[in-house]
Amino acid sequence: MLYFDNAGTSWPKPEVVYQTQDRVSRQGGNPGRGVNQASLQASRLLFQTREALGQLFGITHLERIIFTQNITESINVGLQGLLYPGDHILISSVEHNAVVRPLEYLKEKGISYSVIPCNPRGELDPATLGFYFRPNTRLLCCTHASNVLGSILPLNELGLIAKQHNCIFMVDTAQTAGVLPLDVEEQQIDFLAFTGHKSLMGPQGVGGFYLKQGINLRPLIYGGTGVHSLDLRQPAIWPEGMESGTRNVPAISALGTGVEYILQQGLEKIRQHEIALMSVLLEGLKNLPGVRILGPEDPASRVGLVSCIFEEYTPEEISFELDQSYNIITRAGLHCAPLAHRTAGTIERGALRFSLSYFQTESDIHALLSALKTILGGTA
Amino acid sequence: MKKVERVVLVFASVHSAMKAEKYLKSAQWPFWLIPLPPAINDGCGLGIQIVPADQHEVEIFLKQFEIVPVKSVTMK
Repeated sequence: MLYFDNAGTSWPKPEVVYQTQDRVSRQGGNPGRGVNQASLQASRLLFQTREALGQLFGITHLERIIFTQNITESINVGLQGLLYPGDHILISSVEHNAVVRPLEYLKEKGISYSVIPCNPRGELDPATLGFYFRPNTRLLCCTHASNVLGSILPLNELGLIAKQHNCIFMVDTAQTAGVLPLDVEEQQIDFLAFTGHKSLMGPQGVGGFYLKQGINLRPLIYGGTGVHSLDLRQPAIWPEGMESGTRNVPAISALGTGVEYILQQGLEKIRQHEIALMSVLLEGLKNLPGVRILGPEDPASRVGLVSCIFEEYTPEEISFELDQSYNIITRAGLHCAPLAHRTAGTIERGALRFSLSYFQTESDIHALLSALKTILGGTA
Repeated sequence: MKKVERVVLVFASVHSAMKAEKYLKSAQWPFWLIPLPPAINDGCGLGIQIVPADQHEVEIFLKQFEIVPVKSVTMK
């Protein structure tokens, strides 16, 4: 199988990630529940993953890293826990439904939002932002990179502008954590949401967020934390007070292993490999007949995914043919991001997305291009 | 089991106790992670028992890593 849906979930993982998840699944122990060898070891595993993430994201207060099931939950915790009736939010026009749907729900609670338009390639000009702020704008939320167009948003500038307007700066790093540098201090990120199962190379079922110290957050889930059990109210203790219920310890531990692998390899090496593969892919796609590539032209201005549309075929037809006849996995459709497709002008038909991995080689890209050439005809 | 007087550092969160464990272990301080009774209700239920004579030095040692126990208790 040739797998080009790494923006959906990455495959394969480093072997050590599978080994860690399997080993920890056989260990037992519930972190913070009782004090015994098994529970203490489980607590240590959570601590170690927080340490690895802290190193990757420049976070010093590790207790402000919270584990969730996935980034959608993380974003929900942030939006539902930080905002109050009357608040106004700004988002970009390439946000995922993980952001848009909670905000649509929050409209019922008296919270409003505005969408800052990106150009059709998904690029956001920070100079346009000032116009959209209102006196009650409390939060600026944007993805680090579009999951449809691949465009990278200018986080440094956006963080600065958010601070100038006294706003909380929230970043969705689903497509960039583990590939692009992230530093919560340098980039002035107040709330960083991450997912474990994409470029962080962890398993499915784990994500999380970081929230800057000093910003209050209402939990989304209340219940047992293993600590302060006499207190009938939710303890305001981080991280436990934000992690009610048993965490997915095997997945969190395996995520830690994935992050350690990334730290060993180095982000620069991972990113350069991605750019090299993307250059080959973009060049090859340009030579195919009837293909329109979405997003920025320069490989260095995008993350490792390329979406395109076809003159003669629907994205679904090409995806199905690649799957059935060539054993090549891609993703067609709207990618849970209708705003991004509206921005690109592809809301009616969607697009076909190819997304890359650190473990792919140029020969994988050539195999994909060769299959596409056979399907479409041309000279790739 | 013989009962002896013990000094226990109480932490607000398991995370803080884990952080303290990491540094105490790396500096080779003698210590034991122990369960605490619910009566010590301002802690996380997990304590770090240390040698009574080390208490002052251990507290200063932990402080350099921004680890401050909620309190220390003497237990028998």
